[in-house]
Amino acid sequence: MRVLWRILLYLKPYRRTLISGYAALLLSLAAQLAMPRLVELAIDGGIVPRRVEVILAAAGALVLVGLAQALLTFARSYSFQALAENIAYQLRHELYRHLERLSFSYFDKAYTGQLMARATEDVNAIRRFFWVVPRTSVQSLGTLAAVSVMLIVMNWRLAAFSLSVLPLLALATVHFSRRARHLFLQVQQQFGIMTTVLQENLAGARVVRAFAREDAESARFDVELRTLQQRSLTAARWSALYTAFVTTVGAASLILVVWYGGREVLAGHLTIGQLTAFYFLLVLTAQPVRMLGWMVSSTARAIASGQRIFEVLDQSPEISSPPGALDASGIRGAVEFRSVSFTYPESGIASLYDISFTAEPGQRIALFGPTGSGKSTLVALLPRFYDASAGAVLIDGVDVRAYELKSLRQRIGFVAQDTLLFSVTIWENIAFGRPDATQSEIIEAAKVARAHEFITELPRGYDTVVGERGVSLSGGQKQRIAIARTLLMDPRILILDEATSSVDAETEHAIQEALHALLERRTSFIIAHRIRTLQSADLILVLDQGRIVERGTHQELLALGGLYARQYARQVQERTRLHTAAD
Amino acid sequence: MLQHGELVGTIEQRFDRRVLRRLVRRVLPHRTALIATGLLMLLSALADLAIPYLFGRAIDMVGSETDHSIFGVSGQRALDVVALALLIAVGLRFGATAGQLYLAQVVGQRLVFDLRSRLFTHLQRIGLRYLDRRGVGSVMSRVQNDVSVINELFSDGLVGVLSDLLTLVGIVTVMVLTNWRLAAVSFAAVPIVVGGMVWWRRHAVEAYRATRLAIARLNGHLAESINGIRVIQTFAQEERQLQRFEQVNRGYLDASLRAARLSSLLFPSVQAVEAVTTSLLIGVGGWLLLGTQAFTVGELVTFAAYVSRFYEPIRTLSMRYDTLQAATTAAERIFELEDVRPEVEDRPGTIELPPVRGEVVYDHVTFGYDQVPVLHDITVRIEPGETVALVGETGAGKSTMAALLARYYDVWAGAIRVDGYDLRDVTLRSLRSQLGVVPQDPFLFASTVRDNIAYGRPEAEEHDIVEVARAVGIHEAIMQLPRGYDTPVHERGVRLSVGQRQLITIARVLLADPRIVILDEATAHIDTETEQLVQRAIKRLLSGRTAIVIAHRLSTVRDATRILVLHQGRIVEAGRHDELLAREGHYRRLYRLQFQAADKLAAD
Repeated sequence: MRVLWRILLYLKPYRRTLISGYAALLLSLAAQLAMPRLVELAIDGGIVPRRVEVILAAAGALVLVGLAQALLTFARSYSFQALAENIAYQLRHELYRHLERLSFSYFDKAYTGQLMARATEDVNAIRRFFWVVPRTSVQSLGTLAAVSVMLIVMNWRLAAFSLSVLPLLALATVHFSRRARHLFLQVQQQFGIMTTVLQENLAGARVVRAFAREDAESARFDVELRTLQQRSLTAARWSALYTAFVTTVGAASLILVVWYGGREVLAGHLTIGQLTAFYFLLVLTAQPVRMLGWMVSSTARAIASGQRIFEVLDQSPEISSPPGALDASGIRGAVEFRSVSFTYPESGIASLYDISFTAEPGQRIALFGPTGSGKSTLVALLPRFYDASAGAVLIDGVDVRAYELKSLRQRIGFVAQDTLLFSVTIWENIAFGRPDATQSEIIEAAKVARAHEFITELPRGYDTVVGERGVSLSGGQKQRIAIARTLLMDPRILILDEATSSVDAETEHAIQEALHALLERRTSFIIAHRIRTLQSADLILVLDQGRIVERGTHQELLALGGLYARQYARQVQERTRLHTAAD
Repeated sequence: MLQHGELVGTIEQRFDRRVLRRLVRRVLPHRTALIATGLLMLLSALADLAIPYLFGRAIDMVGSETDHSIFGVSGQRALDVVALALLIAVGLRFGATAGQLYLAQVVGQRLVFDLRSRLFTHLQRIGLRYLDRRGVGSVMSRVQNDVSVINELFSDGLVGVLSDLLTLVGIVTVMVLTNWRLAAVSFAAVPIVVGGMVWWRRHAVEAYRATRLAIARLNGHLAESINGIRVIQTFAQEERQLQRFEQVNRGYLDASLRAARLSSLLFPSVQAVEAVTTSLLIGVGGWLLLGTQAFTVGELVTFAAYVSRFYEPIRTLSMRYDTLQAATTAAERIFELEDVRPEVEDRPGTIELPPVRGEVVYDHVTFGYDQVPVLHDITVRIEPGETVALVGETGAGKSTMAALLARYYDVWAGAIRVDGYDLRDVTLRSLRSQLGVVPQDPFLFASTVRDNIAYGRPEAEEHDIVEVARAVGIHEAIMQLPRGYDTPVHERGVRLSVGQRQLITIARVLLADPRIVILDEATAHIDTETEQLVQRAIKRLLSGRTAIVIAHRLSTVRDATRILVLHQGRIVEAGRHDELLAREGHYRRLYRLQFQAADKLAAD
């Protein structure tokens, strides 16, 4: 109920539209109800007593009322549709804006498909609700009430007879909607299963083919399809019965009108014109009754969808700018970690313990350690992708949480291992963080990232559209564009989190050398597995299971003879053996 | 502008018809159910028509001075008869409507099953390059959404259109037969309606198409933003992205409102025509009645009732029109996918490849993509048990050469033979079941660790699975997972490292125990310890089998029995690691660039 109320609150800005819509609705309703009475007038007042002028007057009135009704119907139909579309627009806007503000930890556990479904299918369910329910509820109940009153006034006994089917209908609707919800849910679930099988099969197409499992996959898919078909047909059986029932139950009351009403006419309690009007009035109830069923189901769907949408909207962004935040545009780039610990909220497993170190502006910090040792987590705390659970991360002596988030992130360049490019041109992709960049600046950044060469070899050069609907690039090529994109931002602090892992050794080395000049003026953090990439750093932090186990320069760490020295020896040994074997 | 729109409209119409014809051919196998649906529809329409007729008879019976009787009975008894006849009509209508609705669903669901099943089977044979280019999402939406739209057409639209047509024909016939003069009055406005519909259709086509385009754009933007949310936040571009989204969102709103205006117009317009017709009928009919006495009040009432039923189908048209349009577009997209030809197919007369020893011969092989040759005249003979490493720069043709052996593509010229059998002369299935492929990206299915290892041999015993897991050195790591071999691995399930995933894909191939292995080594760097496990696992996998390896690891090239150096689609050098290094050729240069990173380290 609270969800429904919250959904209805979206009507607030549209009070005017709503009122004019309802006015049009009620007037058109009155016009609709007047028509059978005009027919009655023509018969009882014109045809039976043989008075032509009454017939013509009634016919003229019918035209006028009919045209007025048409105009009013257009007005209400458009008002309510416009209302629904505007609210859908509003909801999509809110969802999008809110999603953009949610933090990384939310997206760690959310599925893209499900978020998409919220913004599309669920919003659509609400749209349909606003399109149908505010109009239909008033229209249907209004029509039913008005018709009932008119019938009762005309002949209460006949009215009682003919309206007796309505409770039956209500009962059937309630029963059906309860039953249907369960059945449609089952169909929906099976649809989900089918989708998963399909998605996996396509994503793993290479493996399926390599193991010659095509037939087995087809058979597996057919099993799921078969179940889906069965469940759909079970649901279809019920809805066919219900629809048929609803559409015929109105006709059933006609039988009573004929059987009983006929007797009333014979007995002189009712005129033929009245009996005819009765018939037309009863026909008028068919549509509202059908609508009521539709209304019930679309309200139920809207509540379910509303719940899912509000779930997202109520998710408070864990990370945002504090009131009175400092502008980070002018930072020099001194970084300090002061007893920082971090625990991932979803798993509850601590990934960083008591990390402390400082980096002077312009220094190069290298992070080294096995997979899962916490390197990526550590650097993610700087641009506040996550906030430390304990301790503080400081830039220029100020807690990062005190800076204005946008300015902070604009000063920190972050290149992650998995790179995502947008389906736009390479120009736009590189200029993503600085849309105002000139072409020569973009080309300059691409050159440093060793991307310029392959870009110019593409059929349309920098104008090539990449991504799902464009040219597909290799992992290494994407990484190089991502590096260019970050360099163009001219950040004070640069983080390279295995940014060159998919680039071959030769290119990686070239990128490193090109970066060298750039890095001298910035504080940088580099994560890599190849020690060669790290050894010239000013400070190397060796992480193991979330702790800094060793720290120092390359030479110092070698002298220490710990984890780093052992790994180094292993890498060197491997290479040297080959080297000597080669000579 | 308008002319252009019209032109597009007619082209689209012609195309629509072709697509629809093809769709109809798909429905034909289900014609029995479809005909039954039609018959039930007819029955339901007849019963529907009988109701106003019987009502008119009742009015005349109770209201006129002259004695009216039905089936020879009159008065109150006649009312009972009419009521009974109505009851039968209503009962028939209920049964026929329910049956017709259900049968229509049966046809729709069967069609959906066929379409999906066919598409899926087709997708198993379709070229990988097509899938790569199209993207999983776009292909999926065809199998899911587009097929669903077609189902809607059947369960709702098509059946509705047919039943509307039947009703219309029935009403017109009855009206003309009963009283042609009143019928003429009732149909006076039909030309106006037809003219209006033509006008409406022309505008509606465009409006609906614009709406569909706008929603596709909206969904595309949304999906990309959600996928790229981390990048957006990293670059603090939330505001600009929101502005872009607003453009798309606003575009969709405008398109929807335009369509709403058009769809809101249809219903009241028909209503107005209906009101005018009714008033004409009452006015003219009443006047005629007084003058000629050629018909009764009951007939007039029946006609007034028929008029409202006559316009009902026309009113629902706007809804149906949308469904039909959407279904045509959906069918077009489905057929487009069905028409993509598989890259390779079993030719007639192919035989099963008998168990092979593993001799592989590339005999003057030339091949390329999209008319651009990638491999030129490759000739090489690989002995059973040999490990051949392919090296070369990106784009030299290494992956293509390996892909040809798995027959992902057919050669343009020359032939590839395994134990003397041309690949094109044996069934794909029998070939690939003797081949093992370790792809560069370790792909795991969203099932358990066990299912993933046993993917190529689902009937494998528990101890076989554990044995290969031990052999590749992943058994201990698996046992540490929360549910051991039964732990599900998926997108956001257990976080297996890249190295562990590689080990599982190696175990998978090892369990299938193929004679020939194609290995595309991963380039992603992993930590040194796992790296050593992977190298050991690879060594274990390759021993005793014929292997073609796209090499990125030094240890692999060193251990290879032969190295083939590819340059611009040709084999430029071949030999063992030390032999090739001794030569001042391509390999030595490549080795320096790609593998010899240790030089500087060793010098330190």
